[in-house]
Amino acid sequence: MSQSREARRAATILVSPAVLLLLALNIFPIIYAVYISLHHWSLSSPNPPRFAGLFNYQELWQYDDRFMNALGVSAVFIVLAVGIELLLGFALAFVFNAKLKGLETLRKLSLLPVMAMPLVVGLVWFYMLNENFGVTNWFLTLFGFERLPFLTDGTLAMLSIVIADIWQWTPFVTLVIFAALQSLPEYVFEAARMDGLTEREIFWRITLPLLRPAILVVCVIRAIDAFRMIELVFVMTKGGPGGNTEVLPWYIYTKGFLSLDLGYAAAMAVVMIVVVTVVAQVFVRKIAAPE
Amino acid sequence: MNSAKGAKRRKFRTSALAATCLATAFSAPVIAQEESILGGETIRIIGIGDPVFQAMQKFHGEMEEMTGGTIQLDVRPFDVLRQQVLLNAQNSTSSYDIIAVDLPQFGEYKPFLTDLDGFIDATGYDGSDFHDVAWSGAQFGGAQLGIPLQPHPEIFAYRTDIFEKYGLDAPTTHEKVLAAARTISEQEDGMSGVCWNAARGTALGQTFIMDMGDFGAAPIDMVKEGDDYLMGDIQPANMKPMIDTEAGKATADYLQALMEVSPPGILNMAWDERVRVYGQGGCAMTYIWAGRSAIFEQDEASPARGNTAYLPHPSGPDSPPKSTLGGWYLAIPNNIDPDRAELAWKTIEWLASPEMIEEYTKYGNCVSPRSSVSKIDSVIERCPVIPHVEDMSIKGELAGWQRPPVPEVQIIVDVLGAEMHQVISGEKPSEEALSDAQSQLDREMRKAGYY
Repeated sequence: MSQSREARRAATILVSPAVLLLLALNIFPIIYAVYISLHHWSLSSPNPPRFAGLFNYQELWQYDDRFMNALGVSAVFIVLAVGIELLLGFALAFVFNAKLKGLETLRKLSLLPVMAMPLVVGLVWFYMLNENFGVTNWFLTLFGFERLPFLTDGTLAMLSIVIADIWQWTPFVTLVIFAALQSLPEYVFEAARMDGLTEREIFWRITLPLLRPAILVVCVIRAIDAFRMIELVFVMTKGGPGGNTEVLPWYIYTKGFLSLDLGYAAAMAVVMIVVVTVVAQVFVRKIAAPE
Repeated sequence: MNSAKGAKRRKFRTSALAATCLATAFSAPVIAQEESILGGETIRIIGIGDPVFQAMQKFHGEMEEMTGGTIQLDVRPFDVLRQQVLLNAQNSTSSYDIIAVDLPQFGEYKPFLTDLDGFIDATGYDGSDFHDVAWSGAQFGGAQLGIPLQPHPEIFAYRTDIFEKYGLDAPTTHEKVLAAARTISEQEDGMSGVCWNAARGTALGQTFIMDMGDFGAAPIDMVKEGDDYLMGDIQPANMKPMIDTEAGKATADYLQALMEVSPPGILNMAWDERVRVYGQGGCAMTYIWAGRSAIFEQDEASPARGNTAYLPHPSGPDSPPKSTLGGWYLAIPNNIDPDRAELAWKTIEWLASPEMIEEYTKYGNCVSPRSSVSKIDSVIERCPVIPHVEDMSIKGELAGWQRPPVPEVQIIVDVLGAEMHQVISGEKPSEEALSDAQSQLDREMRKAGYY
């Protein structure tokens, strides 16, 4: 009895630093964000913060069209960017999985975009797609085409940001799927072939189900990451034209760090945390669910 | 043989050293100081990535030699600077001795700035050399809160050679701007009419309120006196937004008309890009902060160099020309360590001295808030815009009320920058956007407790 109490005490002592760190770095900021969101709290106002109850949340739902628009734009961005990254990443992983000469070097080189800072990636794409100075439009005009408003047309601007994101993050998806492919046991495929399954049947009935956990993990990681994306919008479009590329993090940034309305920005951030948590939970349950 | 060579080499080194010393003594921009300003101390300045602070960065080493101390110059983008200054104000002791303040920010910053009148009186500092509007722009409740360093207006530049070619009138009014722009867009190959700040957010928000000023209207319900509005004592009752008005509608219409004669990519164009496109011949006219004219005036390859004339903001019907004065002042936070306040003041005196203002013009800052510097021939040669601004100042064509010095000015700019971008992108009718902006700002003012 006393031995088990001793063991529990030791376990508590050993675990407590990690728990404290987690509380300080993860839980406290969330609780503090909720606290701020319940106040009128403006850094630019000489007045001290005052309690506002659910006023900021009520403003969000009742009056703020920009907030609803930003949520919608974020959803479109996630679906387009993560969807295409998954398809491309998946295809590239199969290419890299083929035992061909030179592919190993290509695989290493393909990882380079992941290592670049997203802000730098945004700047590079901004200058490439700029209507006045951009190399893309320069090439278009060289071949007799009209300039394209890559960053100032609603649809093209969203596509430009999606392309920049795909360029940077497809290699990450490739890497995860490729690692999963490498870990699949060879004997399963040999047995399938002996049973007379075609390559197409092997893909749909064996490879894909076995890759399911890896695909779901990469989906969660990329979806959460895409939901937080702000750098590309900051550098390339500032949310324009109109509000066509105003993703939620950018709107939160403008409210919190330009208008300095911390209470309102915190309310939006809390909603964002809730959305991310719910979406992540759905995926995590799928991953954990038995086959 | 070897020793003869060595002696020759030593002699050469000595001569070279002497020559270098002499050359340095005669050519370096040393501004004689009777006593060292910093006396070995370190001064901490937070500034902005605008021409004047960029100029300081270019000859930072020489500035430290001149002052006999260390100058820690922290240059930040606009938004980051504002956040840093506001956060610094909450510290018990300031991390900076001198802070850069934009003219409309005085309303927001005044609770935590040092009243400089004590220093001005004690040192007999003479502010009469500064443009009146620049000097008085930093006065609140009878206190001088800042010393002008780079206050400059947003003005209008146009290509004289192109205007002569087509026999066009100088673009002094909106009507003339649009007429000239249509002619040039149609007839001059590869050249558009007007470059302006149409990028979403702060760029367009500022454009809107400054252009509203061209119709003689301010964005909030300020008290009017003659052609101008009173800025020194804005009361809560004056905080009512005045966006959904006739002037607001006229401004939105003007911006929509400008879209038809603007260069490609206008919806993403902001401060530097508009000047660069103008400097490269992409448009015949541009709105421009005067200090940035160095971008093409000091670029020998630019077709705009020597072919540019400057005017105040073109005005709307029945309104006098008024250019918005903005730009940077030096101020001392009131939570500064009291022992450092005098050092900060001495440094401000020196940084805003005529000699230093002249020096900055050599490094791409075409701004002179001092009349004495504006008359120097070499300054005029480097920066042809300076006498034009001087002239506008004398004629009373500069004003600061278009961007009222109230804490909510950035909120006004942000809301307009988002709503108007929908208008100029053709996604929302101007009436609806004006009404939405008005109600959003009204809620913000109520939330801030003004009424």
